[in-house]
Amino acid sequence: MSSALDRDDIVTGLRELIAELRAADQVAGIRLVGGAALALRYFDRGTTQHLDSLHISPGSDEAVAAAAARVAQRHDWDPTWLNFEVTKADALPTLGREVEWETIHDQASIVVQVASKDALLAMKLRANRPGRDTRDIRLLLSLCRIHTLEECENFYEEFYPGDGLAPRAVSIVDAIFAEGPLQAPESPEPVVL
Amino acid sequence: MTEPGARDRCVFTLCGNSEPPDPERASELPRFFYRSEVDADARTALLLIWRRNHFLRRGGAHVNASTLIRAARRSRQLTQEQLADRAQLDQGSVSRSERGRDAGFSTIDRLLAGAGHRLYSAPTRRDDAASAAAEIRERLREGDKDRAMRALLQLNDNLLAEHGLVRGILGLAEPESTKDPVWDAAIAALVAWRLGAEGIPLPDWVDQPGRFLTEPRSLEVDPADPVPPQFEVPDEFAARGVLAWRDTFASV
Repeated sequence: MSSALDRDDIVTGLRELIAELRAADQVAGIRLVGGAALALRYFDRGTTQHLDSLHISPGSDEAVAAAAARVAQRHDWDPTWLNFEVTKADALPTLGREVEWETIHDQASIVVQVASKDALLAMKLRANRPGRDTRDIRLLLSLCRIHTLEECENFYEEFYPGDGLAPRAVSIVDAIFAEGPLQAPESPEPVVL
Repeated sequence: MTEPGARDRCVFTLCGNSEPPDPERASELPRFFYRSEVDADARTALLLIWRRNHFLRRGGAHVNASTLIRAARRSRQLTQEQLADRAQLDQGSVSRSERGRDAGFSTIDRLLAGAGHRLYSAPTRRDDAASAAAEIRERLREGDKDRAMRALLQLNDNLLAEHGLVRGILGLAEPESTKDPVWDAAIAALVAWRLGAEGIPLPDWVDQPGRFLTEPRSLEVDPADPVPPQFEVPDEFAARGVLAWRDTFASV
């Protein structure tokens, strides 16, 4: 079973998911965050284990999960390759600056969106897992044009009011800025689903 | 998720000869092996494992047979020529098979038999530690530590997704060296951590001296990664000298 999904896998999976939902006459809205959103929209990135998704109304999580399971079976992927665990993890900022979404597909009542780079950076700063989030943070800082720790702290508080950057996140951001000017990553080709 | 018994079965190789398990000796196995959720096939496989206490590797249909053959040969410390001799094939066949050329099942079986291994099935489609190690080695060879880390995280997710004997199977096969001691130690630490969490007996390879560093080191995936304080390092990593943050292996 291949559970590690690269960008091509993600695009293939989403296309087939859309086809499955359409064939089942389903209406659905899928919002992507995490590694899949980064790989699809913002920069080349290593494989991601799952597509962290939020399902928005209308439509049902069950219908999307069932369609995703059919796609998984076809490719010998983990049945949970697209899941909604991130919803339960309370990772999405909800109290501060509103998360913006970019629509990458909107046809026949099926909508797929990815979170803005700003929201993804805020989430990565919150997670700040060394070895896992550091490269993403570096590239997102560049894309979001944040150049100092102070700017980064203010940015973070916009999404998570009253909640400062964790000391470990400060350490990572400090070390990144100490490397010198940030290099902007190359944008991937626009995705067509 | 489908029921374990209905899942597709992957193939793994098991060190030892092909004699069938002896049900009369079942009483020698720990109770763990006979939990109700463990299906008969897994019990059969583990009975052999218990008797041989020496495991090599498994691979799904998408896993190269070359990885299986090379690992089997190296675990017995055979040269390609020696394996060819035992399998009654020419050395070129061994070399081609280990380089990833498609080989028929009978050739794969002969080569594995020559190294004292055979194929069994297990009720999972997830990749094991040996497969993860092969990818990590390749990523490190390319100088891509970020993707090496993704492969280690994938192994972590695979281990967590399975339970009981099947989780144990994912950790049983001895991985080849990644050629970097800290990654070899990290793979062992991860398997020890995740198997230990369910009280699963650990395979011998995770405690071999080569899986312990003499001086603590981090994985150095990114130059901006901070080094963790001791209390943030899982015990199994700390014991092997690998300075890795516990929550790096947690999903958000």
